[in-house]
Amino acid sequence: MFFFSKKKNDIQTQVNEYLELAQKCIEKCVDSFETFYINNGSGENFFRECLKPVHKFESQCDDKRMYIEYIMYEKSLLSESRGDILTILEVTDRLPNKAEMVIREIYKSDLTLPDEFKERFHELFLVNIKAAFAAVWVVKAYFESPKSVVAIHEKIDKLESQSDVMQMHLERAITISQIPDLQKIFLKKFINMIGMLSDVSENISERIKILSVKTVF
Amino acid sequence: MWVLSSSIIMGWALGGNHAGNIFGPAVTSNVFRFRTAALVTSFFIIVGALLEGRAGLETIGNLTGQTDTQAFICMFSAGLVVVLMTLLKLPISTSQAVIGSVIGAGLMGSGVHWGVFTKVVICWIGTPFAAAFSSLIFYILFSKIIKKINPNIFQMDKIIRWGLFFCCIYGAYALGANNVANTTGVFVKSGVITPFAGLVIGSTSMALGILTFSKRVIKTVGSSIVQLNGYAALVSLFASSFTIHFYAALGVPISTSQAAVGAILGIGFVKGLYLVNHKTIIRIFLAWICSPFIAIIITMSLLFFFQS
Repeated sequence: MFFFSKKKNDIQTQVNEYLELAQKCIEKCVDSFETFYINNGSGENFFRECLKPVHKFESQCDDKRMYIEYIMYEKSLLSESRGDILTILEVTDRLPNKAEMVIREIYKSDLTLPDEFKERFHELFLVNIKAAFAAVWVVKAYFESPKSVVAIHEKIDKLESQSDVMQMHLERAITISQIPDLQKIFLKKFINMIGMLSDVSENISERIKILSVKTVF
Repeated sequence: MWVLSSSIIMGWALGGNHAGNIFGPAVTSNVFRFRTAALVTSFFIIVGALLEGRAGLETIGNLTGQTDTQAFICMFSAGLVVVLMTLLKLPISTSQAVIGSVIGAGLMGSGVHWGVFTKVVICWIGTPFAAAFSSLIFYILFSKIIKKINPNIFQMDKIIRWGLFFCCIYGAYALGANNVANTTGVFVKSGVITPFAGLVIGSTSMALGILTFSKRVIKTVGSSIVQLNGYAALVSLFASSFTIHFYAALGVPISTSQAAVGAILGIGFVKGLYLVNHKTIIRIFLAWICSPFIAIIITMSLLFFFQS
């Protein structure tokens, strides 16, 4: 009788491992961005030293998620719980994906930040990264103590709003600046990519909030 | 002893048809495999019948006095009603068919003890209300306890699974205690068998019905109840099992389907939702009205035919 099997504990362990990987992916993203920020450019070693580690963790997250999905279909949970966990994993998996995209964009477009906007890009990135870490935190909280989810959600919500405002002002500043048009396009695209981190974090948080209400009625 | 064949067939049909109300959700939720669920339920139906089934035997027996031929015709008629209603795709309550048959026999023979009958009818009317009320109370009570525990998704999953496991056992116990009288009650009163033999034969035939006949029914009933959501399904099952057990203690066989629907309505009430459609309510009401009356008519007709 699989009712007494240890599969469920396995899933919980696997989910925790997945979240650790997602967190490491974001940490690597921060390291890579800091390298880019200090050097103000991607340079020769950027692909090997910055993009590859982020990609490695993003890829490990994907593999782990696929593995969890696979073991969950071995009937070890109620279909309802399985559906909720799958939803969470699916929405959370967008976070390492977006983190990688930010670093990938730096490399692909060989970005450099104009001096007058450098600090503002850094600030925008930090706000979004805070939201991303909080998103991982909210998912962990959901799997440990659903009651604490609401407080974290509010924090993410504020960070996302803050990011929106910062994005808007930064985009306007870039538009009216004297930098070349092509660079303007790249920078705006980059702003949107950074902003996606807090957008996705808010999506995760919203979903988690709804599911936590369901768990605790 | 050949007269008992009708009783065994009735027990078999009863077990096969009604077990779905009890352990369908546990099977469709993958808490149990069918075989395990069927074995566990069969075992606890026998335990429930042996420990608490006697009161129901007395109620059926006290409705009217019968000879062994009348008892056979009663069970035969009740069985016929079950088959007929099933063929006509009309809902059926086995308890009401059996008691209807007993009343029919009483009207043709030694008379009916209307006091006992009144008690039975009051219990029938009370069944959906009692189930709805208990599910409402249990829903609120369990929710408060669970809120205090603040379980995460894995713990909640475990609570629901263990709860369904417990309800499966409790429901089987209650079903055995409540419905065994439907199968052999008339033969105990007529002296064909002893009460203990009645409980053993009745519960064993119900267990046989579960093991051989319930797979399809379980899938249907289980899926429709589980769609509520895990927690609501658990509470509705517990509430209906509790109601069935409550009436077993009073010695009145009731319809498990009516208890199940009542319990679901109770949850709908507390959640502000209407969880049972009008069609289901009408079907249950039809069963409530048709089962006993058709049973009375068939029994009286058969007795009239045999006696004349």
